[in-house]
Amino acid sequence: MMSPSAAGALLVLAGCAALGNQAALWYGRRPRDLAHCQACLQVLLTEIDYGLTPLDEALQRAAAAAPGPAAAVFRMAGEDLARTPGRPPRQAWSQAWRRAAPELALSAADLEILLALGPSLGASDRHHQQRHILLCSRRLAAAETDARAAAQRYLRLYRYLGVIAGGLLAVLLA
Amino acid sequence: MAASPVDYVWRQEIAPHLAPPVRRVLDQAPAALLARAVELRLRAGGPLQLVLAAGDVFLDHRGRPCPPAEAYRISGQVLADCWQAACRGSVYAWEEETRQGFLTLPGGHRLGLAGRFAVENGRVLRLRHVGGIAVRLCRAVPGCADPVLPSLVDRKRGTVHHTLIYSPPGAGKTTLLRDLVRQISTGVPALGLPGRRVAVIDERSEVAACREGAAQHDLGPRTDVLDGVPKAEGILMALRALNPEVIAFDEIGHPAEAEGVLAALYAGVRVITTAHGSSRETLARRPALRELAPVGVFARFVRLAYRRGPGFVAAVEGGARG
Repeated sequence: MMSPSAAGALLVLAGCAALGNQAALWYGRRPRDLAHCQACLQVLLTEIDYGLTPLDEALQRAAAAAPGPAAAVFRMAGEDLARTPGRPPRQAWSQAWRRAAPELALSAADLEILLALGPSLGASDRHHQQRHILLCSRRLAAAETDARAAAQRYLRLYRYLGVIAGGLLAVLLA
Repeated sequence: MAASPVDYVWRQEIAPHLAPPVRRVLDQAPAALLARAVELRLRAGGPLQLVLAAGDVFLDHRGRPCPPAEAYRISGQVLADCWQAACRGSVYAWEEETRQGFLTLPGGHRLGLAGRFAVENGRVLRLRHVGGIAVRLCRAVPGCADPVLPSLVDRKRGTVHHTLIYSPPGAGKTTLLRDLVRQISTGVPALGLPGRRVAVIDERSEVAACREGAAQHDLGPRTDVLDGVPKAEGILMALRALNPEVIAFDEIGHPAEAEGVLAALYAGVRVITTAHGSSRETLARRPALRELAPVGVFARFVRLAYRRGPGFVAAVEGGARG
């Protein structure tokens, strides 16, 4: 039978390892979420530029065509606009991102890039919409490159760090 | 189709296409006031204004009539939001309408634009900043053509005369045209007018207020609508494809439309149209009508005046063919 101190040490080790793993997972998910955002924006751009699809529909079609966690945000914003005639798209857009942010592995800077698109979304002609969406996509692509580098650097580090920190803490407490 | 009470029209058809702050003001405005309003005026930094036949009324943030200085002020952002709301959040989908300076809302209500436009080689490219919005109420008034119709019927041939309705803006030309179309299409046996096939060329969607191809106003059982089609082209399309007996369209202006009218005339199709003008002399100076003058197309001129409220018929005058 395991002694209480050994059981406690094991719990501390497991807890720290889980924390480290969670941090590592965030780094692993961030490039994927950023890529999904870009995929949704690409569909949105096509709907706006070629289809002249009204924004509420365009957002929902982007969500349907490019699955992933980010698609939920596009769907949420599109449904909000369809449900509330006259609602400024920038409000629906920012509310959807703020609500969904905890579910996504996005940094504050990533979120800023996406929120910056809000005020221009649907507010200008096709040419300008294209420029704003492409600019947002490019900035997200740059963020994705950084995120991939960060994932390579920190993914294993946080995983090991969790285990090592847990081990050290368990030894100290024992 | 029964006409909706006007305050209902403001609240249900127009308000949802405005930014929430303006909608809140209209929602609280007295129904009796809205029922008499024919226009809504929004200007950047200006007071919220309703235009009534009897004069202007300004509303405060609770929708109560007040002096202009105490009225709810429209910010530039709210004005831009109104424009975007009218475009269903998608200004890019209404580029052509933006270039022309107006948008037709569901129900046929017209939203006109003022502001700073970007122009290149003399052509309007886009709207840079919205400076003002004028919402003009469109209402069907069944029976408003009753006083003039007897003078417009060609009893000998059982049809109507070529007719031009003219007035300064806002006197009810489109409303009268709409009811004329309805009655001609339905037929008025008491006047010796059997129902006639009418083609409406509705370039700005104001006469029929079509949504997804279906007219929202009652234009009679024998009416076809060419919605969103340029008038000159629409007249020829109707002549080729729809075999109309009467062609009706709003606001003749371009010389190409005069050619369309002549094509209809030579095809034996009657034409009813409208024009901005305060007198026959000012009409004769308009390019399209100048071209038609030598032929003397119109047999009847209906002059409307705003003096006693929109739609007041000032006179029906005979033309060269009268």
